[in-house]
Amino acid sequence: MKKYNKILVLMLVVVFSLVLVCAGCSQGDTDTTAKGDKKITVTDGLGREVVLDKAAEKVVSPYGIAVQMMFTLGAQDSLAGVGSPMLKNPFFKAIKPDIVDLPVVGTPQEFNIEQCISLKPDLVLLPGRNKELVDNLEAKGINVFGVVAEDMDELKNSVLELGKALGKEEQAQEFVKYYDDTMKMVNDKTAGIDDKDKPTVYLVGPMGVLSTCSQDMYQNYLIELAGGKNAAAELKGGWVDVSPEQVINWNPDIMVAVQYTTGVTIEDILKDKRWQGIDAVKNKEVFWFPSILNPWDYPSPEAALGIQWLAQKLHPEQFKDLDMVKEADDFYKKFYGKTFTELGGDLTSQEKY
Amino acid sequence: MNKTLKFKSSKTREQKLFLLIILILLVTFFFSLTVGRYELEWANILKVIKLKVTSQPVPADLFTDDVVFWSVRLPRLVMALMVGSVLAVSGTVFQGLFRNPLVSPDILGVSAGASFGAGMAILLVGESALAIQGFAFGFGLLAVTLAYQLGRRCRTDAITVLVLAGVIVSALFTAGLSFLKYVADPYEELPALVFWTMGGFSTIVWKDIVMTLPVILIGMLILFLLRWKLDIMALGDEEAMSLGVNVTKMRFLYITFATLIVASSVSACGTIGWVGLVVPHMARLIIGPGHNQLVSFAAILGAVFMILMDTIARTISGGEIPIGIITSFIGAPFLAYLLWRQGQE
Repeated sequence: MKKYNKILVLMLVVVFSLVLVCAGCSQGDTDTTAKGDKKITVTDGLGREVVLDKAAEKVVSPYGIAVQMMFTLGAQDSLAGVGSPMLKNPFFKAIKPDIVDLPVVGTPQEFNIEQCISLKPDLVLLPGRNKELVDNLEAKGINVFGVVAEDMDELKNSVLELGKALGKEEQAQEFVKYYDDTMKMVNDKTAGIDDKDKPTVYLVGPMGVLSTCSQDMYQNYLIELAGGKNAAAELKGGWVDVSPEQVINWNPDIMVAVQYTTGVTIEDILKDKRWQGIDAVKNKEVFWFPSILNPWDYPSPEAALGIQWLAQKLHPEQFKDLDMVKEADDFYKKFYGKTFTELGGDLTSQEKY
Repeated sequence: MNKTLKFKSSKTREQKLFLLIILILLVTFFFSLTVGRYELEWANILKVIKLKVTSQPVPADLFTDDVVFWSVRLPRLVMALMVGSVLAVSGTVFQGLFRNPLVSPDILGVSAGASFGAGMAILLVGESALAIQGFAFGFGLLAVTLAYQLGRRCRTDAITVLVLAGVIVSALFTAGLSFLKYVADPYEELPALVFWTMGGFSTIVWKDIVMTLPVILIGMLILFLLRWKLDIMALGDEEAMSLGVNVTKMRFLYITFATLIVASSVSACGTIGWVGLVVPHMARLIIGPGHNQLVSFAAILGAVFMILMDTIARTISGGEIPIGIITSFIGAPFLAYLLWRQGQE
């Protein structure tokens, strides 16, 4: 009996040690530094340094905004793997039809690590807030760039750094210049507007009329920049739910509905009995926030267009020389190769998946 | 002599309690009509009522008041009243049927089924409110039918098996809902799904009331007429049968109509927890366990409770707090208090 026990214990110890050794082996991984020359060092949204031997040619990303930035930089052909929602995106498909043939690596929440590794990417773009996943992949020796783009400054930085990583610095600089010039133009015209001349704006959020953006959202900043006041500025906490009475109480001058809202259309809002007393509905100042191709209302390369559009809606006299269709056409042609109208863009409808 | 006196006084005591709770309901209802994010004064309320009743056009300065009163606040309060009664009554019926004070209307899976149904509608049909309500109602009924069919196999320990069947069916539909959340589009469908499962009265318009009222009225009426048999069923299957009650048939009737009214309200307002569990207990504490009075009293008390909860949810902050949070904060401690009290006896 005792002898049997001893052998068992010995076997256990051996197995245990083997496991530990294997684990240790797979950890301290690929420390192969390419000998010599030019390496590219970029800083990602989390402040991490990402070192690449050369401009990344195979990029994997399940993150919508990161993929969009690649399109803006003209680097979409470097995509080697994307997330499943990207395959359904009509905008991406219009510019790069073969995106539907790309391997799918899941979504940022349900990321398929094995699939990602099997594609041997030069660079993986993940949402910065998913720090665990970033560290996880990094430990496996993969170059990870954490994308943080919650406001326009972060977006610009991301575009610049990604531009360096993808060998598209020129494109990145052009984008930043366009954005800065646009912001200056809008700011010059709206900075001097008196508080009482700023219309109250109610943004119809993703859950329909009873959801809106509170003070800590990018959309709030967007409204203020365009020379307006967010009806829900007193609230905090991202997208908030409000009661119908609250909307009536705020009595906005203009209502804009985001592209990704559900369950309601502009016609629905104009016909709904509850909103008949609201100024915006009475004056028919209820619009879709463009665009049918991709939403211009959150931090994305098209945010510059979104700000111009809203500013014009709020202060038509100051912006009467602004031709939104032309601006959109020029922007899309410059960064995506085709004009806004060519791609099926339209400033007055909602996108349909 | 003494016994008759005692009987008489308990009857008048009941009558007084009923009078009191009805009064409280009226006060709560009218109070809640004046309370809200939008300032609605009593004077203006009376004016808009008069204008509507005499079919006169509304002047511009009263236009918003008119809209808020008739199209926003009144339907919302009426729905809260209805749903509160429905949940309280079905909770009472189920607690009596299962002879267990920890039972809620969800025990046979109606809420899990309805949430799953709503999810299916959102994913398959899209944004049609009618489809969502229809699917929710249908799947709620389906869930309970499955649980019932599964549960009635066993004749000897019918109650326990029924409860287990309910647990199984709830788990099944909850898993189904999780799967739907997994495959749903994270930008459009998933938020709609999550929003729906949270439950609340902020989206209620008159159409919702028109759609749910017939089923609820009929269901409540039948449950009301059958309420006294619950006392007999509470004695146990064998005793009830020896007293001439067709236990299987009665159980079927109670479950059917209680489920119908719950499915109807869940399809319009989503899942609101704790009300069906806690209000019957409150009612029992006040008016006693005899189902003759208990069911009616619970109905009124449930309405009061729900109206209060909804008023809190919509006024306490600028945003709209999900009503499930309020009911949990009040319901759970109350249940703890009940358990504690029971432990003392």
